[in-house]
Amino acid sequence: MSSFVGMSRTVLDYGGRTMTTNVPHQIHLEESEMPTQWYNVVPDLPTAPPPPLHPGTHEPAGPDDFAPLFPMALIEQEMTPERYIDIPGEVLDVYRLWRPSPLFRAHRLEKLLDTPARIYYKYEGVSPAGSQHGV
Amino acid sequence: MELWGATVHSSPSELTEFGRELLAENPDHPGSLGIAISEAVAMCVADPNVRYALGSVLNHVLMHQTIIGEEALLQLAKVDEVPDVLVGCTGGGSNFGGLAFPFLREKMAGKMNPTIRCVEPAACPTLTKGEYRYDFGDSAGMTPLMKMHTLGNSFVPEPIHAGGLRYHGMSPLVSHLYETGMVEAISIPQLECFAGAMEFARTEGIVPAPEPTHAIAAAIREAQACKESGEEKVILTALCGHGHLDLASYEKYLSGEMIDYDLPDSAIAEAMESVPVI
Repeated sequence: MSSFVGMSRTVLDYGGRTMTTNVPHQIHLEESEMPTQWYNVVPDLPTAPPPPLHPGTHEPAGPDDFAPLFPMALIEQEMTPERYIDIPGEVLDVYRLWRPSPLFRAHRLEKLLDTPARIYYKYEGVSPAGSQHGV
Repeated sequence: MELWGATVHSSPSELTEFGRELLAENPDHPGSLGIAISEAVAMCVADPNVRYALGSVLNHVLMHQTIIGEEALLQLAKVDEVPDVLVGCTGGGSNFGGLAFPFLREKMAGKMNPTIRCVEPAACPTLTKGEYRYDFGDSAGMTPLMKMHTLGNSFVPEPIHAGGLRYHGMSPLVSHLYETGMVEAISIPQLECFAGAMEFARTEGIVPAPEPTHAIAAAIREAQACKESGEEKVILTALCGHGHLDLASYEKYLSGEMIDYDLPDSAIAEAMESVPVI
């Protein structure tokens, strides 16, 4: 189910003028619509990015070279050929503190700029920490 | 962060040899993401029970942010919109990749054809002025070498207010996309960014963090071009955080104390000497 705020008509009042539009300011997803997988773009690319190199040998770096720095599960994700990774349940539980985040249509900014463009912004400031890096 | 259980140290710190060296040279050292990474790596190497939660640059970090773009795809579909232009700020690439990669997937599948544009600070123009070559991900030369657009691992960006964008390199993945022509890049100075953020705050209400002011300024440039051309483009951007923790930056802007920094080519050339020859 979609959940538009002001779905039928949004009334804007800007600069002393009143404007109506059929496109809402806020576009929300239900919690149940939150994606449950991360997308790995690398396997879809026409050419693979050059590999990281061991700083001493200049040979392609393998998982063992990253092991002192990162947990092995993250190293596996770093090098995975899979297009999608299931988001762990514990992470989904934390995401639900603020996700899905809203998409906004910047009607009032468009009006100020007097532009025919339609500007949308995905707002990550709703997370507890106030940014995309979450909690 | 400490309220949530972390212990926070300002980098460069007294905790690592590299940090102490830098502080001895300059007690007021402004630090950089590259220096902070060096210190984090040094602490991992010194203690087998310590691991590093990276905040950007590597593939898995960008992948973890793709839920942003996946949600945005579903949301735009609800209002029957397809983006013509995507703009995202880039420091290490996580916000940009998070928004852009799901749309890039749709573009590669022929379902849409948006222009996808990175926006970086003019004071740290990694993609637009850096070289594409193997370099260290940190300033002390401790990480594996990564092929990326770099200004040189010894490059310390001027203390612009978008601290999250003050990185000498760029995500190898975003660098590869730029090198292969799949994404574009521009740089914008911070005064234009904050001017755009003021327009945004005074219309949309939200005070943006300094990092996404770059994306907002780019969106405004695109919208102004649409006004000239009459094109009704759909512009999508990510406002990756609010600026409530950055009000001191706005105070500097409003009081006229904020400045743009010139970045002479000689400064980049000097830092590029730190890049290893492979």
